[in-house]
Amino acid sequence: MRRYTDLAVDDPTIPSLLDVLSNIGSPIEAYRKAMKTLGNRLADAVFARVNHEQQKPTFCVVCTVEDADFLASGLLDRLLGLGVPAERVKLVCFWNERVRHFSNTIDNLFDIAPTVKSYQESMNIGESIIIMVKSIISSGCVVKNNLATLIDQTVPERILVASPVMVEHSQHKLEAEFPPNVAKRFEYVTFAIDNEVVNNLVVPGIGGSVYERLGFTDHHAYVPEIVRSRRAKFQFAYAQ
Amino acid sequence: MTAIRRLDESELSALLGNAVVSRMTNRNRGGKNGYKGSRYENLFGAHRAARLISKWIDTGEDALLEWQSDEIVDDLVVRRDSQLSFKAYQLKNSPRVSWTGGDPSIEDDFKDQQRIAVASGYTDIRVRLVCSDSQTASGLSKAVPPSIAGCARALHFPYDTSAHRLLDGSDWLKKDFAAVSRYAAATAVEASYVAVVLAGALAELYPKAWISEIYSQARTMRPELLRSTRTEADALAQLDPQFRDLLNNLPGFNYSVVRGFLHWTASNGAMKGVLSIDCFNPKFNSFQSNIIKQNPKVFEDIEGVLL
Repeated sequence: MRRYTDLAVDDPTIPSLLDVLSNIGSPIEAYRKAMKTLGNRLADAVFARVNHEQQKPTFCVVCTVEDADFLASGLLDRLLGLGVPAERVKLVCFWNERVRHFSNTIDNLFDIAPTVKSYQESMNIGESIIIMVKSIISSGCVVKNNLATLIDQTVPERILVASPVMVEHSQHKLEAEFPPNVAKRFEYVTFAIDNEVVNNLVVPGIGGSVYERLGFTDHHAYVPEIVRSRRAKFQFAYAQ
Repeated sequence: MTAIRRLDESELSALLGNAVVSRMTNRNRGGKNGYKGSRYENLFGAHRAARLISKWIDTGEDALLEWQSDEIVDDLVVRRDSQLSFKAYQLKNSPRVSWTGGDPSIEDDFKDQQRIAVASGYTDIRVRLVCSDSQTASGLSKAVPPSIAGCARALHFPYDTSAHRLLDGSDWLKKDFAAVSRYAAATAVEASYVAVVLAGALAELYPKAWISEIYSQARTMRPELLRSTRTEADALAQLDPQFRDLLNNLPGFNYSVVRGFLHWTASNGAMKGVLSIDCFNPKFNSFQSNIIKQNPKVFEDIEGVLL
């Protein structure tokens, strides 16, 4: 069962884009394009939440490798398109291992996502708005790992969790993993709430495994184009 | 030659009386129907295992861990028979705990436990009441009954439904788990994964295992979460000179060997990672050979295989 949020109700193109994701017949290119456009829409919603007269924040877009060139790229590009200066838009990308439930246990205590490697641009996390962008939020395990890794010892001003689809109650699971002074900073930007999970896959969700739908054969070995291009661009700045 | 022996039922009856032995038997029978320890028990067991693994790596001293043991104080038992050392823990994840309330009371159980340990031949005997509530633990530690004062203490071990949040709020816990991670300075979330994999190993090895076995089991389940037992010098010696030369000549690429794993950074620190296998893993040799064969000139030539 799906419930659309006000953001999706107000913009009739959003349910159509979500349908492209949930339709298992959508070709890879259409799926990728829909993800990127949804990233644009998430950026619009994020941008609208910031009082740009009072705040001149740095937007720190945090993503996983599979989302980097699509959802995150769409979000980041749109922020720049809305006039946020390039020096105030930063990218962090994580490659995660995904380990669910060791045998003999059924407790989600054993649901983890260790970091394999990461790309992180130079920034002051404490003065940033963190935007955790993810194609779908279900257990929150990957978001937990990446956020906890990023903000260890530091508490950012705001933490926006931006995802086209979230599973009902996933925000509670995520908040339960952080101390209250961090959890109270969470804000959610999403278009649809789903409440059905079958065999670890959300229905209708994003139409199954995002790796398969985006056409990944080995996402660990993949280096997103956005990471390649940005690190090449910032190489000189880092070297200073 | 160890002087420790386990008492049989008739010896226990002679020592403590039939009623106590009957209670022990019933309690143990109930606890044996599959291991479903509470999260509090799992995390406490994982923490004991982490500390004992650190000790084992540093000194080579192994210990036998039993959870839901046959003893009276049975939530967790640590035996070092060669040193005549016995340690037993009773866990209470509730603020309402007293030494003397109930029948039998915790004092009674601890007293009987001490008598069994003495009769078994142990000389270094420690029995611990572990409470999740710090005020309760503090109050109990100031009021240990004289009859068990020689061996008993009350300790605080915090509880949280989330291992990450627990470690994020407790520096000493984080430090103990981080000590056996593959990172020199593990974050709370990285340390929490050590807790998770050790709890998983304990569940697999129920009801008892040597610390060395728990370590091996955890490494079998997730090879990348726990440190190697070997020295940094040993690990460095595994690196082929040609492989080192190639890495040393990659512009902007740096690496180090920490706790047996190859840690690397590139792009002036923007990229970083740790290999998921340690330098002693047979796969590491294949990894080195492939890099040598590839003859990389820039980081981008190898980043896809730095996994």
